[in-house]
Amino acid sequence: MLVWILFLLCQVGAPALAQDLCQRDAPNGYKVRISLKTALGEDAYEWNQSEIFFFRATMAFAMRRHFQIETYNVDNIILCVQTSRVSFWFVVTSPDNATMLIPKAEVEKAVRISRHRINNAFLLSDRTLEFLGIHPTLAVPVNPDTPPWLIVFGVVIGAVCAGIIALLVSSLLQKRRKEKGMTEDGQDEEDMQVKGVENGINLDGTYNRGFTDNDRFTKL
Amino acid sequence: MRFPKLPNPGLDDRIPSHKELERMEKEEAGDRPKWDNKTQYMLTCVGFCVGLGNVWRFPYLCQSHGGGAFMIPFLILLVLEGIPLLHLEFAIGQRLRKGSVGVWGSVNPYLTGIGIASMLVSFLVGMYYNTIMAWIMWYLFNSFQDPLPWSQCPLNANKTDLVSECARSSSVDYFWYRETLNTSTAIDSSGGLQWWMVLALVSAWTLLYVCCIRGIETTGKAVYITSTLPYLVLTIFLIRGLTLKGSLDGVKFLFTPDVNELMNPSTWLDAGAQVFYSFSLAFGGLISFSSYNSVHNNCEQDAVIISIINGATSVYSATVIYSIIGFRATEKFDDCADSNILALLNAFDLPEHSVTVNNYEEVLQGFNSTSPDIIQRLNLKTCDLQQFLSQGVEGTGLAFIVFTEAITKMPVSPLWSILFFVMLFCLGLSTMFGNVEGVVVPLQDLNIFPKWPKEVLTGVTCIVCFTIALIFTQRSGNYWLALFDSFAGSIPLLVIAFCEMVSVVYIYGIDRFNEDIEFMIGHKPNLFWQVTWRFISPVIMLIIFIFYFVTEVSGELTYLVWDQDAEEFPTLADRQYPGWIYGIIFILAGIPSLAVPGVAIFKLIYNRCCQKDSGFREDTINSVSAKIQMKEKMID
Repeated sequence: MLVWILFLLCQVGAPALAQDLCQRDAPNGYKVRISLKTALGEDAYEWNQSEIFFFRATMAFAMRRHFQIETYNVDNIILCVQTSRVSFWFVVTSPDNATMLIPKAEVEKAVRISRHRINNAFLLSDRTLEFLGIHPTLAVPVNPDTPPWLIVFGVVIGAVCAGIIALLVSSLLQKRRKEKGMTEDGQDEEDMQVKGVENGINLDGTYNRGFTDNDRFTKL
Repeated sequence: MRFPKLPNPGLDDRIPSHKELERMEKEEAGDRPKWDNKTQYMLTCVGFCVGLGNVWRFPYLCQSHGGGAFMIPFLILLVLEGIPLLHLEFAIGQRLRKGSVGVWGSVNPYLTGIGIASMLVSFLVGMYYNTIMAWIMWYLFNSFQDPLPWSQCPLNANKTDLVSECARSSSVDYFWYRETLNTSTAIDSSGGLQWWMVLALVSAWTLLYVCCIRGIETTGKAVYITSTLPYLVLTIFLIRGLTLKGSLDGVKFLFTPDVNELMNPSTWLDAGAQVFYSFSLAFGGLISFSSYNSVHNNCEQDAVIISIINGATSVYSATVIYSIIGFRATEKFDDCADSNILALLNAFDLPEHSVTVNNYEEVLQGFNSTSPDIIQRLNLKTCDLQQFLSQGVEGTGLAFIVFTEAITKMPVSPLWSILFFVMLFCLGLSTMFGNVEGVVVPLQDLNIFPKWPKEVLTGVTCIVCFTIALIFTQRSGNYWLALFDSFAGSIPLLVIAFCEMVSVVYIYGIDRFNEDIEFMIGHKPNLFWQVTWRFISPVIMLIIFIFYFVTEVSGELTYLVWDQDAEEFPTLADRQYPGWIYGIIFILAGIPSLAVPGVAIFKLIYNRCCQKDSGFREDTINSVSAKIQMKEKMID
């Protein structure tokens, strides 16, 4: 009889005790918020008792991994204050003593270590499976060793300098060719004048170079 | 009855007569460069006129002054102010066949100041304009990576959180003000040169040099790409933009007419100023370009065609810009609404998708009546699509903040970023060709460095401009650039344009000008040109000048700074200029404007005191036959 009363008390008391341990704003508990429709859209699964069981099992796994002992079980994870959002509170009891809660800091460490595994188990991300109070580690922006802009700058400057040099050199060559052409023409003219002009036919000027005016001064 | 004009002795000696022009045309005498074909000339002029202002000034003006209704003052002033001035510059350049200094010196030696003022303005504007090109190149170089560097905030030193300056403003703001400009908080805290900006400036000036190295010989080839590519990119962006969500809201917002704005005088003023600056008048570049044409080129037709193209490009690019802005505003609105809805869902633990944009208001009302304190603590933002659409979208803010943000939200962002900045680069580069022309050709005309070939002169100009433009690579460089933009590129141009009109109509003589045009294109300019040249355009220029002058001089001169510690952060804060800035403003705006009377007075004094004893007058040395060498063999 006594045993039967004790058994009844345990059946009633244990959940009540559990309820006392897990409550809204529990000092050692965390609120979890899950956004299934945002994450998965049409493929969102329904959040039911089986999913809750899965969550408890995942958290037990996380605690095992953190403490490196294999005593944590599904019973050690207690959920409460479940809403249709989907959100709920959870606390973790010690495997040795069901009335003792694991401190908040340890739970946080456990969650941080296994965060990636927990997310993937539910096909969610840091943003859609939120542990309120545990900030996700920010992804470091990619920083390459040589900034890419320097590479593009180098290519552009190289091409431009090559262009400048090519254009300047071609200008210089053109100018030299012109000067050479002009001096050759000049030489031809001088030759014509020296060779003697028969009657000034080559030059269509009015001045006959064949005529010299210094007869007055030379005495034959 | 001849139209009254001021006495102008010796004009016939200074300018080639019609017979001489015919002879020059037939014998292709003179060593002046020529266009390879008409297309090059048209593309160069279109490129000079169509610039960054068409993309980032006109759309803002259009939207802020009554949308579709702004077209009315814009088109009216385009016809009454833009086209006549353009025709005037083309005709005078084609007739007198010189750059700006040469043209006005030929009209009357005392008017050389107009040409010198044009040269100074081209010099000052070219310096800061190419710095904007350097910024564009910096963004272009940074577009060759995925994800784009302005799409995410960097982490702070502890790697615990985003850098606070970035978190409080936005990643695009941070990239522009911090990682690009590294801006200081006031114009007098210089902060030293930023090496990456110096490199970008080097690339901008060397690229400009390689295109301008031989004058129109090289720029004429470059404009085939720089003048046509922007239109291609605009079309691509239009097609892409129209397929994005919310783009039509942007276009509707742009063109929704508000006829009441037409009563506002500042609308007409802004339209006039936009038409004037958009045509790159009074820089001297257009006169130069026109002087390389054959004498019988139809400059009247060219002026009309280029004006139409310029106006149409403004409207087209406004459509494209606002379709993308509409997309960005819709994205921001959706983000804002979603975050509000999420806050509501989280606070009251409601199932997902129970609150949507449609029933948000009623749900909020319901909760506001039952639990107002929780609602208060949520700090819900008001999401207003109109407010997002009208967010500060002109000038560098449009290109480097708003548009880059829109690009990060588009798929395959690096591609769109590269296309956008290549387009801006081409638009700016083709305008810079005109600026360089407006500086180098007057230097050649003034014969300051007679023996230097054109390549060397262009190179020296580029190096000098680059060295002075290093002030824009300081940490306070952005504020200096805004200063240059407001003062060097505004008042002096209005003065020069007014003087140009008055000189041609009253000193050169509108009757002689009409005969010249009849000689060049075959018919006298009709009544429209007569009325606009003689009365309407000068009056409009005068009105705009007076209003500009009065607003600048009367108001307190302030500028906007990016200050992390200011209350209004991330909005820009207003600061007053320090006292010595007024000296700089005088140099920027006053010296080019005062060059017009200054050179005249200088020449007057020089002639009176120093030329009294010399036997011959200056004019005879300046005659045409002494300058033009015909291809007959010279007999000694």
